[in-house]
Amino acid sequence: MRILTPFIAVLALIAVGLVAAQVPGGQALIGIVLPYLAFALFLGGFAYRVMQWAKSPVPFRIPTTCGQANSLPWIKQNKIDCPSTKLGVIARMILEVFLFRSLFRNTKAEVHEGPKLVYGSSKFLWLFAILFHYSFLVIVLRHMRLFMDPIPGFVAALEFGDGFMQIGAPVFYQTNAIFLAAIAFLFLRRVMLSNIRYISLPADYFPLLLIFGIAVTGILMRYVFRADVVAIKQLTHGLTTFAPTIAAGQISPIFFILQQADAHGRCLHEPHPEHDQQQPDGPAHQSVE
Amino acid sequence: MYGKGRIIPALILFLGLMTSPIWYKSGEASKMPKPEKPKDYKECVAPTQEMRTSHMVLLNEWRDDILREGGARTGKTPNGTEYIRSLQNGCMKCHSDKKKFCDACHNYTSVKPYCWDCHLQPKEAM
Repeated sequence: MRILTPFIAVLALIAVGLVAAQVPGGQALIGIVLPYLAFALFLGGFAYRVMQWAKSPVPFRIPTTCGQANSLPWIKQNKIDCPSTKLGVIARMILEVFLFRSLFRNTKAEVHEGPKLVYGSSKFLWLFAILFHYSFLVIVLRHMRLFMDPIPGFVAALEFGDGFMQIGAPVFYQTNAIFLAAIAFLFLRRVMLSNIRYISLPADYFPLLLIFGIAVTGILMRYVFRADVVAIKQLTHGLTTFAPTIAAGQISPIFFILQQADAHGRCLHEPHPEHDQQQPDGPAHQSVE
Repeated sequence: MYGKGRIIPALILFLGLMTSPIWYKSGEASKMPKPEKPKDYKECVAPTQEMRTSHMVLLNEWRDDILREGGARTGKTPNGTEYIRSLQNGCMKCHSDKKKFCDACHNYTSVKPYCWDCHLQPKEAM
């Protein structure tokens, strides 16, 4: 049930997109009204969450650490894990935010014959989490070609690097495949490992399934159903310049399905507490991915 | 509120970054590409909308069919007009100006096809 509900929710979002693309006025709703609404909600919700967090008293800046704290002079301090200087805090935060250091520390425990309890390092969560997030970043930045004009140089550089293998036309992007593989891993990890499945809630499955849906519809739109990119840029660039127009009959329904899933995803999920309630830096992060 | 001095500026920076496409020196939305259509020819190998979305697939199919499967060099439109299945000698025969045709939309959407790594551009466009 905990997995079925979010699955049905994502299917419903896709169905709404499919229907709305054919109904008069539905294209404007999904293509223009919802994106503005979702974006405003995302920004507002994000700012609200940060302010709420800033208002909450927190006794210690880093509540739980795994390293040796600053102590007597002959006890060696773990300067990054349990910092006592500003520089140490900056180092810890940079490693955490950009390299997911706390996931890198992830361990697993297994019971062998004996009975013997064995602890070991487990790096797969870190590996796939980092692949997932950086692919996502590249994909989002690549999409800036549709929102900016003239297109900034870094977008062209990303597209060149990402399509480096020059497979097919339109060219195949490596991040698309890496992204799907990483989501599949993160999802299967929740389903296959009984201890992770036990602590997983609909709020954990929903974002994974939603993002998977967005990725799949996006890939289908590019390689299978083939959308009219010029007509899409007319709309998306129109959104950023506050003069959106929808070219009649030129945008295929798949685009609206994608937008529907995407818009709702941003609108409903991102400002949702689940993403922000955890401490910005700490062991709580481990269970989130 | 705690840490006001750092959180507020960081939040403003974040909001600025998120909305950057809006205040970026974006050209006007009405500035759409207008690929120049050939004057002497009325009919393309496929309907306009299909060509808009899938011309690159068609080119790849031609390449695979002709170079790898030994397919025919000529094709026929539904109206019976014969054409050469070739980028340089077929497409470019009518759409002769790469800059005014291909590049118009490709530049607009940041698409850089590698056709011209091997194929020669028509002279007037060079």
